Amino acid sequence: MLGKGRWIADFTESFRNWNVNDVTFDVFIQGNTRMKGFLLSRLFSATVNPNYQVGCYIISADRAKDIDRKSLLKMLHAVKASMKENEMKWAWLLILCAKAADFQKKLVESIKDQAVGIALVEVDSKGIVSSDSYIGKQARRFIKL
Amino acid sequence: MSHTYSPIQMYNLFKSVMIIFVLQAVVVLIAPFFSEQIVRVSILIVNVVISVLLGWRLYKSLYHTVFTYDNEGFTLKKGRKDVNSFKWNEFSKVSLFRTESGELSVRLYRDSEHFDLPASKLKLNPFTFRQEVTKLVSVSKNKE
Repeated sequence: MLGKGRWIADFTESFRNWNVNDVTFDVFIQGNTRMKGFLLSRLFSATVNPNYQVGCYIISADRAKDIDRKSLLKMLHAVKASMKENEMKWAWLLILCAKAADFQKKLVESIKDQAVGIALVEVDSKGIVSSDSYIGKQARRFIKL
Repeated sequence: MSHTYSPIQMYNLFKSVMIIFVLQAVVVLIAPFFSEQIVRVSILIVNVVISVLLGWRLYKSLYHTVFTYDNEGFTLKKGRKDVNSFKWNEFSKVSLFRTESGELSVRLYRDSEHFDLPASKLKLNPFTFRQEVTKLVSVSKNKE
């Protein structure tokens, strides 16, 4: 993996072409919110961070080009099903595309799910649109293009 | 065509040598003799030589990993006794897993169980190795 980012969770496992309920995500990574490291980092993490299982689902431009309300809800339901199976508390759904239409941006912004943060990332313009939830807005902070 | 990987794991080899050396050093320290400088140096040299020889044997019997695979399946042998052989078609999912020590393994899932191929210890590129294993698993599944 290349690029920049911020620490949001300790991701330990990644899958390619992860299929859930007929939706195939290009990448699925999972981990938890406890930071690993040396003594002080572990102590800090154990006292401050909750120990939640979290995941990040990434779907790329090829698969995401025809995003409409129906397909977005299908993706969201697939993420929810996968979260339940893997006992996750939070998850992020990142949709990467070259350029998104205005209605697609509004669609993403209208999602208010508090457990799944959705971010629509325009790779060409480096624009990020997120869903209307705390972890959705957090996605804007940790994605660095 | 069969491929075999069995690189020397320097960290585990060093650990094995040090285990033997420390054991000998403890014996020498508690022995109430040898105050002569020449004798001390001789003992140190003998200890180092024995540590390297026995350390190598310890490494081979406990840590040395040999991984052999072909289109049908693989064998992972760790040390002298721990041998695991599987067919690729026994597995359904493949992932890349990072251990607490930061080493990467390719994880193969069979129902709810999993088996790890230690890519970092085998000095294989974990990303390309994962791709190759994924291909081997999917091809062998399609053959069924």
